[in-house]
Amino acid sequence: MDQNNQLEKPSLYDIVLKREWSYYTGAVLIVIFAMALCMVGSTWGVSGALGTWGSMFLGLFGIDTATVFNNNTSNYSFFANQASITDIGLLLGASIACLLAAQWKIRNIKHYKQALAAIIGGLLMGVGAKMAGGCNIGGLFSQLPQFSLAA
Amino acid sequence: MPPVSNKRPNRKRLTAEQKLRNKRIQIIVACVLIVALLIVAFVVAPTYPKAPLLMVIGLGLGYVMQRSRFCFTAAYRDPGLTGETKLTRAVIVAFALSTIFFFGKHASQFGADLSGLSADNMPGNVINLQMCIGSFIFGIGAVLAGGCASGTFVRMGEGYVQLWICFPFFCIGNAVAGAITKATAGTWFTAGSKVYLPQLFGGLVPALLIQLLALLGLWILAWWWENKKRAQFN
Repeated sequence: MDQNNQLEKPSLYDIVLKREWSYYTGAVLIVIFAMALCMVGSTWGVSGALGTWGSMFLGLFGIDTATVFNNNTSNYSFFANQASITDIGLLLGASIACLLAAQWKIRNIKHYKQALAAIIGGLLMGVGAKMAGGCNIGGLFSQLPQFSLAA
Repeated sequence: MPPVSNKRPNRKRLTAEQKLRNKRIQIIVACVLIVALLIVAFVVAPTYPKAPLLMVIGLGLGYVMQRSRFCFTAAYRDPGLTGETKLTRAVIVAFALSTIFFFGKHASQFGADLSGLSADNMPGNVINLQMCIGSFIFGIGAVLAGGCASGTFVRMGEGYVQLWICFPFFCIGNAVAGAITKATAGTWFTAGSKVYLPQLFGGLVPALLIQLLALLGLWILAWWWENKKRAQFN
């Protein structure tokens, strides 16, 4: 508050990095980035790579993932496919957004039921995503604009 | 009594200097992360030349989704839960814009009269019963865990421990479900075909118009829904 008792005008740092953006801004920008991704490679998909990550993890326990889980991970390089890099970029992009606005904080769970819901929800999401042939992005956001009825 | 944990001591109040120091540390960490990621992307570039572009696009997507609090499942959940459709309307706008983009892309890819279309390169997923059940299960899981697939990544980046717990199980569930899909491949469970709307409606332009009109109708429906629910609370 300055001397005239008015609210401070937000600086450019505030507007760009600190304040929240409106939903419509986010929608338009996401579409622009998804279009760029589509031109560079195939369409956007988030949980496409996660199945292979999970198979690689379970493969450490000695389960033969190629036959049991229908996932061939022998010549899979962690970084050398589109979905992996996009996912890692997504994760760290969100981190960077929070850090640049100085809003990063470890938000702990406050009750054990949250952890239980997270575990069950995670399993259900994984099973559902694989059965439906795509997560919410690859199954809906990349299908519906492509005029396929599989939305 | 609501479940509140009373085992944690009072949160310590930070002084103004400590807050400023935290803020500076966070900004420095952010810049270091950006540089490190770009270096990693360029290191991978010889084996996979698209890596830097994809990394930049991923960073941009993460940044935008975090700043605008976007979540795709909240777009479907909020109208039933709280009656708010602001996010739903933004998602509909996103669909409309990318529809126009894919209209152009498919026109250049398949030819204006869909002559290059064949059963192999038809875009889209196959519609079958497995897909319907899978979507249903995915929806329940997403609301339980607190985020969709993309929302999981965004909130993991923000520091939500609940999603850190959820993520390994997401991966494991995805891998395990590979066994299910392998077992049901080729049976009646997965009998279906791809449906491509322009083929159904006889051309790209009718499909575009119908889709845009449908999205506009949904937008108006969302607007009306929110007004109705707001009026109940006033």
